[in-house]
Amino acid sequence: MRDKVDEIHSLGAEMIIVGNGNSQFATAFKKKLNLTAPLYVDPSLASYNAAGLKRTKAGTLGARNWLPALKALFTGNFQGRTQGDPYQQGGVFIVFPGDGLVYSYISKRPSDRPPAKKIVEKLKAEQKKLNK
Amino acid sequence: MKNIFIHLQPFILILLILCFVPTMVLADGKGKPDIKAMSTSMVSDIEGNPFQLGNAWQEKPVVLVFIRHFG
Repeated sequence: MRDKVDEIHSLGAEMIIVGNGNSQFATAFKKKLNLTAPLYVDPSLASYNAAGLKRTKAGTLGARNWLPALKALFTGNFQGRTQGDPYQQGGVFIVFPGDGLVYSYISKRPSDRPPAKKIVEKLKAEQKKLNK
Repeated sequence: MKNIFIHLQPFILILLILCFVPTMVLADGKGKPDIKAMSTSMVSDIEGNPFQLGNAWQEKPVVLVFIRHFG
Protein backbone atom coordinates (compact mmCIF):
# COMPACT_ATOMS: atom_id res chain seq x y z
CA MET A 1 0.00 0.00 0.00
CA ARG A 2 2.89 2.35 0.81
CA ASP A 3 4.02 2.13 -2.85
CA LYS A 4 0.80 3.90 -3.80
CA VAL A 5 1.34 7.04 -1.69
CA ASP A 6 2.50 9.17 -4.65
CA GLU A 7 -0.45 8.03 -6.77
CA ILE A 8 -2.84 8.83 -3.92
CA HIS A 9 -1.28 12.29 -3.57
CA SER A 10 -1.60 12.87 -7.31
CA LEU A 11 -5.34 12.27 -6.91
CA GLY A 12 -5.52 15.05 -4.34
CA ALA A 13 -5.89 12.68 -1.42
CA GLU A 14 -3.80 11.70 1.57
CA MET A 15 -2.97 8.33 3.05
CA ILE A 16 -2.76 8.01 6.80
CA ILE A 17 -1.81 5.00 8.85
CA VAL A 18 -3.02 4.09 12.33
CA GLY A 19 -1.27 1.43 14.39
CA ASN A 20 -2.07 0.07 17.83
CA GLY A 21 1.38 -0.03 19.44
CA ASN A 22 2.89 2.91 21.31
CA SER A 23 4.65 5.90 19.74
CA GLN A 24 8.11 4.44 20.41
CA PHE A 25 7.26 1.38 18.30
CA ALA A 26 5.69 3.65 15.67
CA THR A 27 8.86 5.73 15.33
CA ALA A 28 10.97 2.60 14.78
CA PHE A 29 8.38 1.19 12.35
CA LYS A 30 8.27 4.41 10.32
CA LYS A 31 12.06 4.48 10.08
CA LYS A 32 12.33 0.77 9.21
CA LEU A 33 9.83 0.98 6.34
CA ASN A 34 10.85 4.50 5.30
CA LEU A 35 7.23 5.60 5.51
CA THR A 36 6.29 9.02 4.20
CA ALA A 37 2.59 8.82 5.11
CA PRO A 38 1.48 10.34 8.44
CA LEU A 39 1.49 7.68 11.14
CA TYR A 40 -0.69 7.71 14.26
CA VAL A 41 -1.04 5.38 17.20
CA ASP A 42 -4.05 4.20 19.16
CA PRO A 43 -3.07 1.70 21.87
CA SER A 44 -6.59 2.02 23.36
CA LEU A 45 -8.03 0.51 20.13
CA ALA A 46 -10.95 2.99 20.37
CA SER A 47 -10.63 4.00 16.72
CA TYR A 48 -10.30 0.33 15.71
CA ASN A 49 -13.57 -0.41 17.52
CA ALA A 50 -15.25 2.61 15.94
CA ALA A 51 -14.14 1.31 12.53
CA GLY A 52 -15.71 -2.07 13.34
CA LEU A 53 -12.41 -3.86 12.99
CA LYS A 54 -12.10 -7.38 14.25
CA ARG A 55 -10.05 -8.64 17.14
CA THR A 56 -9.80 -12.39 16.89
CA LYS A 57 -7.45 -15.13 18.05
CA ALA A 58 -8.81 -17.51 15.43
CA GLY A 59 -8.14 -14.93 12.73
CA THR A 60 -4.52 -14.57 13.78
CA LEU A 61 -3.69 -18.18 14.65
CA GLY A 62 -6.04 -20.05 12.27
CA ALA A 63 -4.65 -22.49 9.76
CA ARG A 64 -5.73 -20.29 6.85
CA ASN A 65 -2.77 -18.06 7.74
CA TRP A 66 -0.18 -20.78 7.71
CA LEU A 67 0.26 -20.94 3.94
CA PRO A 68 0.47 -17.13 3.44
CA ALA A 69 2.89 -16.98 6.40
CA LEU A 70 5.11 -19.64 4.83
CA LYS A 71 4.92 -17.85 1.48
CA ALA A 72 6.00 -14.58 3.14
CA LEU A 73 8.85 -16.37 4.87
CA PHE A 74 10.15 -17.84 1.61
CA THR A 75 9.92 -14.50 -0.19
CA GLY A 76 12.03 -12.85 2.50
CA ASN A 77 9.23 -10.91 4.20
CA PHE A 78 10.09 -11.74 7.77
CA GLN A 79 7.82 -10.48 10.50
CA GLY A 80 9.68 -9.00 13.44
CA ARG A 81 8.61 -9.11 17.08
CA THR A 82 4.95 -8.18 17.40
CA GLN A 83 4.58 -4.67 18.81
CA GLY A 84 0.95 -4.03 19.61
CA ASP A 85 -2.09 -6.25 20.01
CA PRO A 86 -1.33 -9.52 18.15
CA TYR A 87 -5.01 -10.45 17.78
CA GLN A 88 -6.17 -7.12 16.37
CA GLN A 89 -6.95 -7.24 12.65
CA GLY A 90 -6.66 -4.28 10.30
CA GLY A 91 -8.68 -2.59 7.61
CA VAL A 92 -8.72 0.08 4.93
CA PHE A 93 -11.20 2.92 4.43
CA ILE A 94 -11.65 5.78 2.01
CA VAL A 95 -13.25 8.82 3.62
CA PHE A 96 -14.22 12.05 1.86
CA PRO A 97 -14.72 15.42 3.56
CA GLY A 98 -18.01 15.62 5.45
CA ASP A 99 -17.56 12.08 6.86
CA GLY A 100 -18.28 10.52 3.49
CA LEU A 101 -17.28 6.91 3.90
CA VAL A 102 -17.11 5.53 0.35
CA TYR A 103 -15.08 2.35 0.85
CA SER A 104 -14.43 0.03 3.73
CA TYR A 105 -12.52 -3.22 3.97
CA ILE A 106 -12.45 -5.09 7.26
CA SER A 107 -9.81 -7.81 7.40
CA LYS A 108 -10.83 -11.19 8.76
CA ARG A 109 -7.26 -12.39 9.26
CA PRO A 110 -3.67 -11.15 8.73
CA SER A 111 -3.44 -12.31 5.12
CA ASP A 112 -6.83 -10.80 4.24
CA ARG A 113 -5.99 -7.46 2.66
CA PRO A 114 -7.52 -5.55 -0.25
CA PRO A 115 -5.31 -5.11 -3.32
CA ALA A 116 -3.74 -1.62 -3.25
CA LYS A 117 -4.62 -1.22 -6.93
CA LYS A 118 -8.31 -1.69 -6.14
CA ILE A 119 -8.20 1.05 -3.51
CA VAL A 120 -6.58 3.53 -5.90
CA GLU A 121 -9.15 2.65 -8.59
CA LYS A 122 -11.99 3.21 -6.11
CA LEU A 123 -10.49 6.56 -5.11
CA LYS A 124 -10.20 7.57 -8.80
CA ALA A 125 -13.81 6.54 -9.47
CA GLU A 126 -15.12 8.50 -6.48
CA GLN A 127 -13.10 11.59 -7.47
CA LYS A 128 -14.54 11.32 -10.97
CA LYS A 129 -18.10 11.11 -9.58
CA LEU A 130 -17.47 14.18 -7.45
CA ASN A 131 -16.06 16.21 -10.34
CA LYS A 132 -19.06 15.50 -12.61
CA MET B 1 -1.98 -47.02 1.40
CA LYS B 2 -5.53 -47.29 2.72
CA ASN B 3 -4.17 -47.84 6.26
CA ILE B 4 -2.09 -44.67 6.09
CA PHE B 5 -5.17 -42.70 5.09
CA ILE B 6 -7.14 -44.14 8.01
CA HIS B 7 -4.38 -43.09 10.43
CA LEU B 8 -4.20 -39.61 8.91
CA GLN B 9 -7.95 -39.05 9.01
CA PRO B 10 -8.06 -37.40 12.47
CA PHE B 11 -5.26 -35.01 11.52
CA ILE B 12 -6.96 -34.11 8.23
CA LEU B 13 -10.19 -33.51 10.13
CA ILE B 14 -8.46 -31.23 12.68
CA LEU B 15 -6.74 -29.33 9.85
CA LEU B 16 -10.05 -28.82 8.05
CA ILE B 17 -11.73 -27.55 11.24
CA LEU B 18 -8.86 -25.13 11.86
CA CYS B 19 -9.04 -23.94 8.26
CA PHE B 20 -12.70 -23.14 8.45
CA VAL B 21 -13.04 -21.86 12.00
CA PRO B 22 -15.74 -19.20 11.66
CA THR B 23 -13.51 -16.23 12.48
CA MET B 24 -16.43 -13.84 12.28
CA VAL B 25 -18.18 -15.59 15.16
CA LEU B 26 -15.08 -15.43 17.33
CA ALA B 27 -14.30 -11.82 16.51
CA ASP B 28 -14.85 -8.96 18.95
CA GLY B 29 -15.37 -6.21 16.38
CA LYS B 30 -18.84 -5.29 15.19
CA GLY B 31 -17.73 -5.59 11.57
CA LYS B 32 -19.48 -2.34 10.66
CA PRO B 33 -17.73 1.03 10.62
CA ASP B 34 -19.30 3.91 12.52
CA ILE B 35 -18.00 6.96 10.67
CA LYS B 36 -19.17 9.43 13.34
CA ALA B 37 -17.34 7.51 16.06
CA MET B 38 -14.29 7.16 13.79
CA SER B 39 -14.34 10.90 13.15
CA THR B 40 -14.32 11.74 16.86
CA SER B 41 -11.75 9.10 17.81
CA MET B 42 -8.59 10.44 19.34
CA VAL B 43 -5.23 9.05 18.27
CA SER B 44 -1.68 10.35 18.82
CA ASP B 45 1.07 11.21 16.40
CA ILE B 46 4.47 9.63 16.89
CA GLU B 47 5.55 12.53 19.12
CA GLY B 48 2.62 11.77 21.41
CA ASN B 49 0.49 14.79 20.42
CA PRO B 50 -3.26 14.05 20.43
CA PHE B 51 -5.03 14.17 17.08
CA GLN B 52 -8.71 13.85 16.25
CA LEU B 53 -8.98 11.35 13.41
CA GLY B 54 -11.78 13.25 11.64
CA ASN B 55 -9.49 16.26 11.15
CA ALA B 56 -7.56 14.21 8.60
CA TRP B 57 -10.44 14.23 6.10
CA GLN B 58 -11.76 17.72 6.75
CA GLU B 59 -10.25 19.18 3.57
CA LYS B 60 -9.35 16.28 1.31
CA PRO B 61 -10.13 12.61 0.86
CA VAL B 62 -8.15 10.17 2.95
CA VAL B 63 -7.14 6.57 2.49
CA LEU B 64 -7.17 5.43 6.10
CA VAL B 65 -5.15 2.30 6.77
CA PHE B 66 -5.41 0.52 10.11
CA ILE B 67 -2.49 -1.85 10.49
CA ARG B 68 -2.51 -4.95 12.68
CA HIS B 69 0.56 -4.09 14.67
CA PHE B 70 4.03 -2.64 14.33
CA GLY B 71 6.71 -5.17 13.53
